[in-house]
Amino acid sequence: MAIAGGELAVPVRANGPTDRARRIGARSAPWVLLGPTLCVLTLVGFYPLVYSLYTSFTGYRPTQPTKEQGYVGLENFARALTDGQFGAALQLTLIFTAVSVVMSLCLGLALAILFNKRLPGFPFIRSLLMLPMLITPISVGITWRIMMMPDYGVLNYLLRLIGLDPWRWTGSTSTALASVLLVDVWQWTPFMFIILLAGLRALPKSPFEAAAIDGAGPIRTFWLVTVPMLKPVIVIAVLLRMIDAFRTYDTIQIVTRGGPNLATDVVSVYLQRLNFRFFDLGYGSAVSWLVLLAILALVLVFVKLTGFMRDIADKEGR
Amino acid sequence: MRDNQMFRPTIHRSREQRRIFETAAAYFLAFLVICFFLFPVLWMTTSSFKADIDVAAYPPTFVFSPTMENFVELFVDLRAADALINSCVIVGLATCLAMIFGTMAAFALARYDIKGKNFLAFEILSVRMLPPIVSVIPLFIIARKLGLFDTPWLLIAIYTLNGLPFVVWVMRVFIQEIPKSIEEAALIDGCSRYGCFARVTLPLLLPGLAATMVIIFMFAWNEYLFASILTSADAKTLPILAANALKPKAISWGLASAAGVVMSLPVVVLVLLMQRFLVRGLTFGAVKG
Amino acid sequence: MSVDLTHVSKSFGSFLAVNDVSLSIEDGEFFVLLGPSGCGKTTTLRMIAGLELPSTGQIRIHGRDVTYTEPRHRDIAMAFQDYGLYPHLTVANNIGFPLRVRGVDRRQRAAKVAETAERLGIGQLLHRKPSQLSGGERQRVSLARALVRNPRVFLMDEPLSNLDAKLRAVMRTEIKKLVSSMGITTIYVTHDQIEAMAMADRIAVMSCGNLAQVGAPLDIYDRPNTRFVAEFMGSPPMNLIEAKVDTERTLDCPLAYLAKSVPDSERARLNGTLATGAAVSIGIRPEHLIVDPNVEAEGDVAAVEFVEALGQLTNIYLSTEAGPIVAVADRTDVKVGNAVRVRALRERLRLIPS
Repeated sequence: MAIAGGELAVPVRANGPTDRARRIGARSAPWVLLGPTLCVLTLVGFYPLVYSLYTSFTGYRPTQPTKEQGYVGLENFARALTDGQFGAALQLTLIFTAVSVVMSLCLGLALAILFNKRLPGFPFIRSLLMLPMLITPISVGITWRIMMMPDYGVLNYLLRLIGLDPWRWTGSTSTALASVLLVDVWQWTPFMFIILLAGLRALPKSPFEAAAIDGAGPIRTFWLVTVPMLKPVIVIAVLLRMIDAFRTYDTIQIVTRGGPNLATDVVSVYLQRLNFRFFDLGYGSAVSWLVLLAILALVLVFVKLTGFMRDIADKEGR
Repeated sequence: MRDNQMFRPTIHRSREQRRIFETAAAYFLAFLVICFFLFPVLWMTTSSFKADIDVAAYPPTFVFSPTMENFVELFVDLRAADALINSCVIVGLATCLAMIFGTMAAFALARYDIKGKNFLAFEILSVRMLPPIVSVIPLFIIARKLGLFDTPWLLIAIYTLNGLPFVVWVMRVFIQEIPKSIEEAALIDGCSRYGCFARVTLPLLLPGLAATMVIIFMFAWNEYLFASILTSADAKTLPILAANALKPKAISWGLASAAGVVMSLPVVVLVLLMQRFLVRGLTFGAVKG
Repeated sequence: MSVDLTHVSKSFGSFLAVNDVSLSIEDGEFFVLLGPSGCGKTTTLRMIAGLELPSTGQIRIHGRDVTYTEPRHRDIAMAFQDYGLYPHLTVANNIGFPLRVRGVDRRQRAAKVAETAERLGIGQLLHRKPSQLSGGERQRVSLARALVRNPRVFLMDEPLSNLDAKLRAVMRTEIKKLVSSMGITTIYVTHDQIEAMAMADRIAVMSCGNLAQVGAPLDIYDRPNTRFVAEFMGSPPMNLIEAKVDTERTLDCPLAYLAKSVPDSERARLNGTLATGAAVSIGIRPEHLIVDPNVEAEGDVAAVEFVEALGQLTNIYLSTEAGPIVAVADRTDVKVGNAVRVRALRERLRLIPS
């Protein structure tokens, strides 16, 4: 067969002006692609953030026109650091986050191990288990509030049915935090479950077979083989959940509104009150920024502790 | 010889027994788990069909005559249809924008070697760490100043922003999954860069795109905080409607539950349809780092 | 000239991947870029393809300057190491893709696809998807897709390295026969010097981004110019024995007989470039050494360290005053521990500057 295609010949071009432009084009292409995203990020993400920082240095209080509205220096920040309520809210949020994440991690891991088995009907059950995180958090809050009503609620009814004392749930300061934690764990354990299950499924079989031959029982295998191999997945799941738990607003607002007596007054609820009940916007901005720094600090500590960045660098072969 | 024959059936039987026990235990545990996680969902659904008397009744009624009056009230009195349309338009638009922008950005990060690539990726991701409450005030002020209060535009922009980090992160992983040689083969075979993307990359990305889209749709659909701050009567979305049903004057639990059902139904249906892709989508970021 | 590279270089940041490479590849030639991993051969190929842009230099295909042209305008075809098949298309659509993209109508496309598939022996696989094919079958689809357009230049990036050894040997011959019969200029990248020897009309050996030597296979094999090329070609590799230039007529070397055996023509060839006292290597291929079990015979003294009887040939590992060397012989009675005498075929000795 002869060279060159005849009727199938390809349009061959030598270097043209557009081709020299190709060299420049190749360099700028990624930036064109990133453009819109960076635009949105800057305008809708970072600009309000900077504006908020600016506001935090002012005494902006639209509903109290008699007070100083302009530049007040670090007064807001000083006030925040001595504000008992803010400190309490921060502490509460940390406790809430820690307990919620740990419990949903343990429960999610247990579920992942249980549902890793290939039994008939399990795939269907797994899909059903996703429901809690799909339902709008507002509705979740509403529903649990209905269920947790001390006198009419179905939960107390069930408790009485099996002979236990009814609970005050959100009605008492001692049980309110636990109630809200219950709702949060209920809603987000499926999230941990899905991620951990996928991680579990992706694990290679041979280390487990080796452990069985080496004589490790199920508990030792779990602690010495499963958990270490799952570490990267666990770290990501915990990181994501931790950030979200810190920012929880919807459910708590609906279930307890931060009460009773500020027993569940987490940082987001506190800020909401500050900004949109009292309209203490200057101070509110300062507090918001402190909260942001708190989250960053939390993430940094977590990342350092777990060697997260190192894992990612290893994966990308650097 | 006879000894062996005696041992074999016994060992076999005890292993069988153990397996049956384990299976039974597994199903039992699964049953308990289902009860715990599905009960509130069931309760919400049944409450939505209860008349007011039944809802607040004590002891709680498990058997009752279902009624549609809550749903009727939702759509007629509370104008739920408006809120529904608002939600659809706002969330739909924001989802599309986030998918398009985010996938473009993901492609840039996955296929090109840029200075400071990791810094950029981290920046995009860090947006997710922002507690929304921090940006709320300035956005509220901006909304009022620009006359955007109670219009859908700012909300669309915010939801797009919220979805972007997730899209970029997950699609980047999916794009990295596609071997470069396939795209290069297309370039040599005669496709332009756009043609290559449209004919080769895109079809292979479809499952990832579907999964990601459903997830960011869900988060935007369920969003409450920004919607409550930035809208009032006109641009109200469904979550606001549901929260409004809790007005302290006369808390109608049935109505609130009905709102919950209406609001959650689209997401539940979508997700259950797309399940197979979803687990890969959510976890590719997690499992593959 | 079919393909010309003139002073082509490529850097990735501070890393110089390809350093000042100039090549002229003839029409219809089967040209192999050979070298170890990371030597720049694939980068060079990709620059010819247009998948990378050179930092400096010029690339011409059939006289046209294509240095910055898009790949699709270069009239080239490429076969990838992992085949690069479109997983979502059938074999028929994979092969027909280049035609479809150029707007060839359906009937013509189908005919051409069928014809090319037949020629490559995959006519019955047209309706399958790549995931349902074996490695060898995918390889053929990859080739079919490349050849369906009758390209003028065919680039191949280690297409056989993912196949098992036996299949590799078979495909090697098939590919060579196929492109030769079609008269297509082929540029083939590989790290396997046996593949290169078997298929190439000419070989360019590369190392660390530089061109070490260009020439016909047997030329490079018999007359390597550098240590690297000498050691890279042939298995077991060429023996390199250190020596020093003493005077114009003698070489100072622990293996005196060997040094004496180096023909004058070799010395003359290098004399211009070597000063007295300069270090040089005497190169001799294992198969050109004669191992004489008779200790009284002529030659240098050596002791047998290890013997590998491989059926066809026997590898004999010897220790000498100048260090270990390897010899290859037919079946032999030599045993470990024997003292022997070693001689070389004079005309095969080669001097290589160190």
